Amino acid sequence: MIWIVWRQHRTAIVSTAVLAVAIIVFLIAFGNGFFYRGGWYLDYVPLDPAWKLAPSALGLAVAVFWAAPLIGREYEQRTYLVAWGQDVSLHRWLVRKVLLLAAAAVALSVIVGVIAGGLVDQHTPSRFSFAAFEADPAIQAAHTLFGFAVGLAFSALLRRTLLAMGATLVVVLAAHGLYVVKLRERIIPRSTRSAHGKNPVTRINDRSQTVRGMSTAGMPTRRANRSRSPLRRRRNAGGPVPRPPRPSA
Amino acid sequence: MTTIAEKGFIQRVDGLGKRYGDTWALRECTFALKPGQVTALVGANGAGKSTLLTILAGLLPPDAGKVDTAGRVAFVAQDKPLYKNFTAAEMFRLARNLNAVWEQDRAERWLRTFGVRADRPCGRLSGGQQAHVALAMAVAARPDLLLLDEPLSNLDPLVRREVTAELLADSAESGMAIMLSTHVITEVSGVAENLILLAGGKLLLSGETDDLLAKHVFHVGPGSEVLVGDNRPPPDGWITRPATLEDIVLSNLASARDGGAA
Repeated sequence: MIWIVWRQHRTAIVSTAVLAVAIIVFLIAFGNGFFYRGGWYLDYVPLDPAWKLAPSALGLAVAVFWAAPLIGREYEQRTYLVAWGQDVSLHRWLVRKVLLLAAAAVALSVIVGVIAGGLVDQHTPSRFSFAAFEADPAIQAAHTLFGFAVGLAFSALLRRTLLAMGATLVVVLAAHGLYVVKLRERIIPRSTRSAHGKNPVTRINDRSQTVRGMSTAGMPTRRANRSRSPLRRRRNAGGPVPRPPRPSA
Repeated sequence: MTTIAEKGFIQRVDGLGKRYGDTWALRECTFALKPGQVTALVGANGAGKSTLLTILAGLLPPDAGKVDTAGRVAFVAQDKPLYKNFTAAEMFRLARNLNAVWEQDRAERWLRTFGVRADRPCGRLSGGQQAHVALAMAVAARPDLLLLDEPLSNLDPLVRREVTAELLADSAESGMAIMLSTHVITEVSGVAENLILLAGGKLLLSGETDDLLAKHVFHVGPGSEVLVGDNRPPPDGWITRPATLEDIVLSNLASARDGGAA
């Protein structure tokens, strides 16, 4: 079965692997920004935070090019009559194929997540910062599995390759956009400690930027500094917070 | 699992029906397929032949009745679908991976016999060559029942005869039953031991061809001839002549059409 899956999907698998390598190379080269030669001076241009979603492109590619054509193409080209007409039952054929492809997709996304996470972690102390959270291997695997499930569902329901690919693209992008814009801020704790465990950090889910190697992640935000509470202001500034007096025995 | 020898048949179909929307494509079909027999499934276009074969292959669930299967079934669909970017050799490897029984020699011998290259992608083979790859895959899986949906339609007349001979030899050697659909009755005359005639999704006629030929005669009278199927004596002044399989099929189809079989 491994040979069948490889033979049938090798173009998609190889293309996605090339995409994964491209993402890794991109992150290594321009992980946070790039130098721009403007005549005699060299300027540093930080990347737009949207580029930090690059690792998630892998999950989208898996959804659209692996999962969406999986069943629809068999129906369209009528090859299901060959594949499912053998001794191996449809259920076993489908389960084995889905498991193998999903395992390969998750492996690829975890590899990209590990490398991307490592690159991002060098600059952002918090694993809950936008870039670090998105590049986390577990998050990448979850994105990929979600996309795979959506693609497979559309493939089985619509039974048309292009239609399933289009629907998968729209739904996965919409779901990802909704998650990034709306849901992500709600599921991440509003206040947590930094990766170093020393400096208290507020609003970790801010869009941290790194300029000339200096990360702004973990720094108190302007909104936090506007706080009227002196206690909160001191906590936001990273200063010592006085403990409440203990009741005397 | 009960064996074919215990049951006495490979497949038995009882009151089978299939509906697409409000239209019944197949209704009340009952028959049994026995080991080693060649059965011709005959009917006009849209009679329900492909639907019946797809159900027998287990690729389509019936809406009524049941199919009792005792052996392994292989199916070659009408348009001989293959993975177009696979070579014939790769198609064989795929079938070898997906079947409990596989005879690589048999598959390769089939292609050699009919001069089909195993190293060319199936998408670059002619329709006839693709049919050979599909037939070779089905035969090499050594099924107990081989279902063929218009298997000879893409082949030239000489090759049709050779393919039929190969299939009959395989059937005689291994006891494999064959059911082949066609709307060209001459293709199955002298080949099929059983005949199943479908019209409008209904079973018009079913039985052994020898019995059908023995029962049916033409009564030829002044200016007309009538096919009768019960060996009753002809009217006075009329004579009797034997009927061919084609006569029986065409006469039944015509009367079904005129009588509104649907």
